[in-house]
Amino acid sequence: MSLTEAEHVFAGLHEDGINDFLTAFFRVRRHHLRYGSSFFVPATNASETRMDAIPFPNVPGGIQWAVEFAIPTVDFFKDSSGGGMPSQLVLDINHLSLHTRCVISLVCGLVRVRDHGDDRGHDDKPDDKPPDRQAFGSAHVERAVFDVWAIGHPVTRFTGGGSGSLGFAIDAVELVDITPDPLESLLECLIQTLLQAALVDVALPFRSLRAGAFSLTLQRGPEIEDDQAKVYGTT
Amino acid sequence: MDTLDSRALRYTDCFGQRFMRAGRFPYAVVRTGQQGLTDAPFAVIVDKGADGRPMDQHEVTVNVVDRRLVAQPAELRIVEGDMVLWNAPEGDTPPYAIAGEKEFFSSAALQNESGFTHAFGLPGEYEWRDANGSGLGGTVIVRPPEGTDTEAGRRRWMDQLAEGALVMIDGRRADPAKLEIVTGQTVFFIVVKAPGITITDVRLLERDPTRIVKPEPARRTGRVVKPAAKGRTVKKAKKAPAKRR
Amino acid sequence: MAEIIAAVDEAGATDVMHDAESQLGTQGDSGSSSLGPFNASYGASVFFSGGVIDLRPPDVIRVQDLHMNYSLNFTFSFDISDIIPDFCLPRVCVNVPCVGRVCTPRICINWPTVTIPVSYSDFVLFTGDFKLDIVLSGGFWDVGVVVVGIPNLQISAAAAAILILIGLSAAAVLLAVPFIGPLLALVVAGVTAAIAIAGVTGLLGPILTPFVSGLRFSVYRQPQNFEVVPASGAIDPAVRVTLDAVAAEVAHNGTEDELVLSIDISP
Repeated sequence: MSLTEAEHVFAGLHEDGINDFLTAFFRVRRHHLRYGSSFFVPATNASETRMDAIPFPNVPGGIQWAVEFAIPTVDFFKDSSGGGMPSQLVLDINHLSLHTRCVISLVCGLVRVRDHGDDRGHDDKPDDKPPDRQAFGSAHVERAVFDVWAIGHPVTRFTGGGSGSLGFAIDAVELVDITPDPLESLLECLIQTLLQAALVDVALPFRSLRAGAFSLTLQRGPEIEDDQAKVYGTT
Repeated sequence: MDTLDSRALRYTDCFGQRFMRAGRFPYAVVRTGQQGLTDAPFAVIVDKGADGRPMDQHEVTVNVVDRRLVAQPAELRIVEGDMVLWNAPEGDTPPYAIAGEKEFFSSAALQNESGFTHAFGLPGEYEWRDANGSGLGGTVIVRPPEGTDTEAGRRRWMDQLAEGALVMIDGRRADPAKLEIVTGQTVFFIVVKAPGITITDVRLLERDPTRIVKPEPARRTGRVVKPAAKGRTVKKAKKAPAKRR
Repeated sequence: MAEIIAAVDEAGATDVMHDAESQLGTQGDSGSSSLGPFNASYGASVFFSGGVIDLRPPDVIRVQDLHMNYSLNFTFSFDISDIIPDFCLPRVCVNVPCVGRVCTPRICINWPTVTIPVSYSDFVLFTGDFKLDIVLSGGFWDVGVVVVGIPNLQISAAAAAILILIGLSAAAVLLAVPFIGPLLALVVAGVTAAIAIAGVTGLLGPILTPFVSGLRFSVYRQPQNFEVVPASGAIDPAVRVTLDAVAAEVAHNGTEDELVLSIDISP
């Protein structure tokens, strides 16, 4: 069968190529994969995104947190993971799998504590309230690393005149070896939400995905098969 | 443009002057536009002749020698009543004029018993006028000859070239005022009597050479006649002579 | 397998070629050459358009009926004396009343040298085989198709038309030469006979042939340091990849002949 089939122009991007594109993208725009509150990220720059701490009563300054993903590796249908992908996930035609690492960090022990064991002899007047104490001594960072597998599909956004860009949508996430199951489900939900949000701004122009070769007005695709994302169209 | 101008003689032009009195008449050959006559190195020497003797024509050629315009022969001896005809045989001779020491003898101001010939090389309608402002003028219509794309036609045309056309100028009248010839033919402008005229294409006289303007008629001038006082006869005003410009 | 594969079929390749022709734009040249017995100086401009692609594996791209559109301006000069014999006005005489016979001398006309400008625009169709040519130069990958040999240009019809135009142009210029009018047909016939079709062909061929000799169209040209996404702010710099290798071939895939580019990249 010809490459162009019923159309006049064909472009195929191998999964190795998409991974080169993603590596190049995230190397210079790492901030799409790394987020944290002020304790972890003093200011937003190309490498990281500063977020607000999670506000909570009696937690001065809120809960300090950070989430970081490794540069994901994409595998187009057919499955090339060599058995690495969890069996709960099935890679179908026109779908892709995504493998990454997620690190979630929290600062623990930063809580305002009221000392109620020393209130004898004091009048109950507002200006005589006992002072608060803040427990600093036990503040530390807790960090967890998760091996993340995901199944997704390509998302195309058209900008007119046959031009547009390719992005990704996550359909399901699987964490390996997390127990109990409710915790695994909760974390999978959280990580799927964070990962999908992190990938929203990844938009690779059609033209770039074929390295500027020829001109192509998209009529069909992208179709994911044979480890490639394939598009078909006219000049 | 086929340049018709007796002030600027070219190799297809001739200037002719009859000498009616004996004497020595020095002249110069000057480039057109040259101001002032500083030297008259050439001469026509006129001997006395018998009355009624037929006119002889003599020819002087004008050439460029060492970048100077030279008449050859430098001195020409003729008899009273003869004509001298000046012509430059070489096509690259610059435009020139014959300027005699005597006022009657000048190709730039044709007076009595003089002439100017011009062979017309391009078809068209040539309206000519006196550049010195006498109001004298006329028209020469030059038509392309017919049938010259054949050898026979070209031979017919060559025969026509031997036929000259004549315009007689007497005072302020040119006869005929309008003349029709074919390309290549020669017109002889013979000046019987004139106050010093030129034969000049009107396009050379106007600021815009592409615009042809007919010569203005001479203006009438006269005195204003006042109503006569009672009892007096009013005389009709005489016409004043036309002013020379 | 290459990381990026792009392919066009013959219809797509035809469009690609038309784009490449537009990219090549108008080429120009000037100089001097012979026009029969005369020297001519010329200026020429050429642009290419049209053509239908026939892909012939493994590496030939045949372009059929490629239009070579050209505009030619040339001038040549000649001395009219070299074309027709010297011409003299005969001695002309008139009888002037009361004066006598007055005659002008025989006046021989100096024919000038005239310069004839000629302008002609036309196109010639030709079919040429082109081969793929891949170059990395100046930081750019360039995949082009280069003509094989020197295509044969059929210019006889144009030569005939130009010869007629030379006659017309010469006539227009000669009309301003005094005394030439009745001899115009003779001069024009003499000039066109001296030049003849062979002279025009001898002018036109060497002018046009260099435009097709070595003719190259670029079908792919990109910087090796390829920009994937442009910069969009202080924290979002441009994203680039390196085009490590570019290959091209004419392949027969299934039932179609296709022009295929294969590109390998690295981050």
